[in-house]
Amino acid sequence: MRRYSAVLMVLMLVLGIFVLASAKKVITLQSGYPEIAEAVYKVAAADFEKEHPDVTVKVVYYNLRDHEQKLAMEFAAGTPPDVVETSTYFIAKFLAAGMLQEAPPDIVQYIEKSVMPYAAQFYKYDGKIYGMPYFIGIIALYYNKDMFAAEGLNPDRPPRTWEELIGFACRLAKYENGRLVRSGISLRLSGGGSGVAEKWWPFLIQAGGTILEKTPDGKYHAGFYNQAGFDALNLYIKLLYLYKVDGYEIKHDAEAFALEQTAMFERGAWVTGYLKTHNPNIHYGIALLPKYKQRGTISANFGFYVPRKAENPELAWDFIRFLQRPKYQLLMLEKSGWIPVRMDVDYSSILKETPQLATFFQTPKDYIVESYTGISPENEIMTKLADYLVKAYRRSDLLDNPDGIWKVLEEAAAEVNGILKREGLYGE
Amino acid sequence: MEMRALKYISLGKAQRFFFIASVVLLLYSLFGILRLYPIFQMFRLSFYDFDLIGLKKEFIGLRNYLDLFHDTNFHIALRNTLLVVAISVPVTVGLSFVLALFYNARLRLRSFYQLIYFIPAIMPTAAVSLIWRWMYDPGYGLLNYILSWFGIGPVPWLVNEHIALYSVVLLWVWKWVGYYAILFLVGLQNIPEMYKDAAKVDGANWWQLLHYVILPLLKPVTLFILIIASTWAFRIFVPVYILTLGSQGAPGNAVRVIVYDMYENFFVFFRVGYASAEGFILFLIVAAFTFAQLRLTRASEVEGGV
Repeated sequence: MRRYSAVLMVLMLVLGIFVLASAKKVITLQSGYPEIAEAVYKVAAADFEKEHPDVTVKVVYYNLRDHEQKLAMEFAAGTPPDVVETSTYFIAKFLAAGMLQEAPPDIVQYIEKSVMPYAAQFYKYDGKIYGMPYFIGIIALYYNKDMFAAEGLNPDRPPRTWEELIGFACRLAKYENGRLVRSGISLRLSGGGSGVAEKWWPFLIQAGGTILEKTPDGKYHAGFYNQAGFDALNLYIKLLYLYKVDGYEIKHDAEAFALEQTAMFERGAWVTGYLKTHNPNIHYGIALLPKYKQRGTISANFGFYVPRKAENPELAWDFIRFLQRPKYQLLMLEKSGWIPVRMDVDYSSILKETPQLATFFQTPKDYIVESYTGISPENEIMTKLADYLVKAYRRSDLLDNPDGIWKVLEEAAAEVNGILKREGLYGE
Repeated sequence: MEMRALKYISLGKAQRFFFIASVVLLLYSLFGILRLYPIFQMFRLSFYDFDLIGLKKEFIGLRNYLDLFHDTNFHIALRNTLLVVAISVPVTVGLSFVLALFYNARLRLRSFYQLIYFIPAIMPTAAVSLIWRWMYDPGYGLLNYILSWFGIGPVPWLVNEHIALYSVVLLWVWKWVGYYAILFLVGLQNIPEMYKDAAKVDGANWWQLLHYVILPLLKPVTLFILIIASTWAFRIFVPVYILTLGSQGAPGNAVRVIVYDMYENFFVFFRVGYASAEGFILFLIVAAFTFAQLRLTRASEVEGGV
């Protein structure tokens, strides 16, 4: 009896070892962009699994807010996913905390050779490269060509200056029984989080300002309590209460554009993917943002990172390498509309199909493209600034009220500078 | 024989004691781990400048609490939270009581109505919030569609800072009214018929019956409902979170409540210590509120002799 038990135990042990040895390795990629996760990462995961039968790639995704919240908790708990897809500004804090792996030498070489230099600069920290740049979001102007034509405007001649933007918006705004039913331009006026400040930022750049101005000592202060900030806020107030080309009772953003309830709005390239599914028949163009004192916009940069505590870091980097194949870059541009940062891929077939996307690939030299600084309280700064802007946009009394506008900017700048001081990042 | 029986009983007692002690110990341990320990940790962290990902953890004494006194967002959140409680609790409790009286009357399809009103309570709050987000839509929302029948133009339910908070309250009332009505109904059905009959024999009309018999006997249920309704209203978060999402969402500050502010400080700005200080203040407010409700009810019980 005892002998049988011993044999049984040995058999179970061998079986256990066999099961453990044959178990598939699992890597997890976590994304905050469902449209990319579905169209690209899942396809790539299936292909990768075919080439690596001993590996399972789990692609999980959430809406952006939930994704970032989960990542924060996962990093804090020491259980991050193997591959993190996120923006360079969100990851900055984790980078500073030493929670990410340096990119392997072959990936560093690849980045130097094949990735847009503009995008690559955001992955450097202390002279080393962390992560792999993958896609970029640049804000541009979307406009409805049919509406332009119907209002006697040249559909191939989008507004190039603020003056034209105002004039075109006035012609394109539509009223029924005194009620705005189509906005001339859809501005980001509401919502929680930092989105409102982010969408105001390009206008601020065009007026010659910025959100956070770098000081000679490498620190920052609010860059909008000046004439540029005044002009950018004043533009919104005038569009809302003088020209009345946008309002609170109608839809906004990409949804309004897809529903043809707005003639123009500013957003990133992902809207092209959104329009393919929500209104494939819409006749639209995409243009660089108009000029005031200068031309410019903002970009957000996204890539992959491997946490130090990733369970399978080698495989994680392998999957990231796999994702660089042209097939997935093309898929991303085609299906989601996000702009891949790999330069040595021929995107002409997609640009032929969606010619509007070409705007995102041709930024002139004098066109300023700003991005997040990557300092740790940036999200808090943007969110708090957004609160001031949301409140200001509701105030019709700010029309022809320069003192009122200056006061809003002064208070917002004081709050921003206060946060910078608290974090030891304030510079004169 | 007698001795053996005694020995058996005393052994049984010891076993019973051991069983009860272990169960009670387990329960208290679980309560301690799951409830008291997090509260203690929250209190402890509220004295630190603590970053979620551990970039810094510095003891700063009462600075988080002092900063909260000067934090505009916290003031807005506190005011909005108190407003949500002050409006939603009486309205929900009042409506649910009326609904319970309606359920209690012997009407046709009573069970059907109970089910209909109870459904929102069992639905996840996130799902309810998404439904209401659609109902509040400026262009295609149900509410604006109904208003259009009367020639009323679209109301920006969420983006108008003067209306947004009331839109959240409306959702909250709708979600919970059916649930509290069921609780009231249980209370109503537990009132012995003989009390009502005796009052009727004494010539009491409907109003007197309600005032002198039903309401006093419903006091324990009412107290329970008041406490959970106010506690839940103080903790409101999910509707605010969902209704502020995206460009058509409510402006953050118009609907900012304490838990939303805590969430933002904790998960978005990673200010764990600061969010903990807010959490502890909320804990004190809810505890004080509950204590006051209990004391008030006890005082009225002594006064009324019920």
